[in-house]
Amino acid sequence: MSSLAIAIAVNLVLGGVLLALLLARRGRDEVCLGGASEAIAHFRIHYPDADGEVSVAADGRGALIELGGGAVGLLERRGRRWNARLLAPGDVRAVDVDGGQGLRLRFADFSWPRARICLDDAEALAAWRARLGALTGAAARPPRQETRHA
Amino acid sequence: MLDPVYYRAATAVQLLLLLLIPIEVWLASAARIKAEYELRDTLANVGVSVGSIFFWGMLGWLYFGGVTFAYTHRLFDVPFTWWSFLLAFVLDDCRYYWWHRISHRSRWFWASHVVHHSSQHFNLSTNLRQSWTSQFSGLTLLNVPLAFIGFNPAVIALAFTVNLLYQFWIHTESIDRMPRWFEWLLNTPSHHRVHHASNPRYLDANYAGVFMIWDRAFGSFVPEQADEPVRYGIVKNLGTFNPVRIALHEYVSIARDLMRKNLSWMQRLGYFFGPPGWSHDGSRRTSEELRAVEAARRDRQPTIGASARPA
Repeated sequence: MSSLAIAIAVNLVLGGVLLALLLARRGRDEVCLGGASEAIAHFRIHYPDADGEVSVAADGRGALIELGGGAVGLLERRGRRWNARLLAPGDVRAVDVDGGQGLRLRFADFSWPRARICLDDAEALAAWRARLGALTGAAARPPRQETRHA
Repeated sequence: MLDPVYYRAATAVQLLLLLLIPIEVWLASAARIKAEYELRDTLANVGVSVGSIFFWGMLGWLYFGGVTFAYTHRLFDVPFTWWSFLLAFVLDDCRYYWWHRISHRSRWFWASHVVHHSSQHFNLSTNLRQSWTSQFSGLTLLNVPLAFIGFNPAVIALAFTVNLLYQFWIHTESIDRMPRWFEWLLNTPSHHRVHHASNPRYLDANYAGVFMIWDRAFGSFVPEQADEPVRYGIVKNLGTFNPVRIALHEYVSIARDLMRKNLSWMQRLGYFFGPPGWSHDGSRRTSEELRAVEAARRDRQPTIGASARPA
């Protein structure tokens, strides 16, 4: 048991050292979207055939894409990486407006529970809130094609 | 039993290797080497590591119990000498190859191993992101044959430890290529970058622990290509840095699939043991299907480019 405690302690100390080192350089790594074409290019890495109207977040940290067939594409920044999801009916658990500009989303996906998209245009914010609100509820989900591994 | 000095030496090497992580962070921040660290990703690696150590401590008896039981009923007495250790090391590396291949090709085992692949970054701290359930998935049984042959459990454990210690340095972008003979024979950062890639071309490749000969012999070797930069992570990347979600997300996904209505037992088995991406209605894609789609897309692209080129 003592060797287990020592191993965990070593990891925690290592975590502290890494925290200090990485906090010192935080911010240098972050990337932002330059526009709609960049957003769709990042989204296509995950969903190669995707196309649609793009709303880029005001802070450049994400984007929403109106895809055909009732689905919405979500792109969100993770440090220097981008994550994408195709949101179909039933995938969104709740949509709230946060602080006037932020759209706070909660998903049914255990591996991606929430996201926040900042939109500075009040009209776009209201439209996307309604659009994503239509994807809430665990009503019968239509079958769909998705690029998914596991 | 094996002299404890070997274990002390292994522990000392392990601690020295852990020191390389902050050194890599520091060198990367000074732009001396190529390495990308992200604060939350790295802290998630540490958090997952703490859980992994805890569960190894709690469930490690399954490993030692199985191996010790087999050794009690062994066929031969293999002495502990330098040559028997080398033999155990090579045989255990073959065992590792198949453990690794099964871990990628069957969803129940992938649910445990996916944790190690779930970061979109690839650096020395990726070593820390290890499964919480490796003892419980059942693949510990693959350790039994060596003990049944007659290798001492302590020798097997040491061979496995050395194998894992070797694999520490290959989790890096800071080393491009090793000499050609080295790349042919041994696992290297280049080969392992391919293994951690989510590009369809690179999926399910380079399972080796130490010796690349297993991948070359069993047809799973794929070289890193200059025209295809590696995208790290999994096909459906995680949107969380929570260690519990990282460690358990695929089990939750399997449970949800098993609870679907109107599935036959064969279909439920498919969701449990089938390859990752298998689905009863074809709504998802396996690695082979992703590769086929990608290959078809590549085939289409040059034609479009040629027709668009001005005369």
